Amino acid sequence: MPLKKETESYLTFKLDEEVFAINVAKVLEILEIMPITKVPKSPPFMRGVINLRGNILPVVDTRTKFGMSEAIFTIDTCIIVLSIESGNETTLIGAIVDSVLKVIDLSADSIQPALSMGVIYKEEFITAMGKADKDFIMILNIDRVFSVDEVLLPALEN
Amino acid sequence: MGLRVKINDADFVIPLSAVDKCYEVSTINKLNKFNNLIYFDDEQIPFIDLTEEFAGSPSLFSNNEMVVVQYEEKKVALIVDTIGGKLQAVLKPLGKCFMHMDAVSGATILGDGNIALVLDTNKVVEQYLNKKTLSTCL
Repeated sequence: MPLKKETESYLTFKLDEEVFAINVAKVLEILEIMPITKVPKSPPFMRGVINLRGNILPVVDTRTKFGMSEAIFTIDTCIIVLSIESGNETTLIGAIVDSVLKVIDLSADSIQPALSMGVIYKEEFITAMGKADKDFIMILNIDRVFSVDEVLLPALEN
Repeated sequence: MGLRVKINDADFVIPLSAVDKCYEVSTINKLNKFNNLIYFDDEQIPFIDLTEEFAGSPSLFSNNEMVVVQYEEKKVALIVDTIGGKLQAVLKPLGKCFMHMDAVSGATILGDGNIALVLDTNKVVEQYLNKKTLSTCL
């Protein structure tokens, strides 16, 4: 069976000591951290909203979302603006990450399906594992991580 | 038109159509914390301390002002930190992520680029009442 030689670009970023990747097609832009307006009574991982050139952009703390401690803002902290597809609608969402690393090209044969991740991350959040320089990178299924259901449900449970 | 207020250092906008009166802290002389009532102008007005509601911890009634709003024929006082005056607000939706957030009906962008959240006072009072009924039932 011939291997596909297609490569796709991924943006890698860090949360704590872990490296994650998002398909660049989903990334609109990367912003420096800025003051975030907190929305009262929203779930802890919803850090609030920011003014993105006159539009209101909801901002999610990816660390809290993944069960890590709340993000502490440093000079490296960034907001990645992502376009999320849910149903047939696209919504913009900001994700706070500890630092953005680089864009890497991964060929299809260096991506392996994700095996059991234990209990730390929900398996459905991770599409696959990419291999780059002997390190494994978790490729996120961001449509799933930041889907409206995923963002709404924990709030409704409260 | 909206009334700009500050609660816990964050900007909020209360629609002017809902606002009845505004009072300064010096006039708030009798706060009855037990059944959340203010005696004012020979009237009893139930109050909701928004600084406490939004922060989750009780505030000390030190530098507060209050906005009296109309809630179903009744008056309810909302306690805020400061009142900032009137402003023309363009309401922008918060998006699907905050759809369940009844108390906040949208957001507006202020002159300095900061965001102020627009409060739906009816929902704020409703939510507060629901919470109270729940806690008394338990």
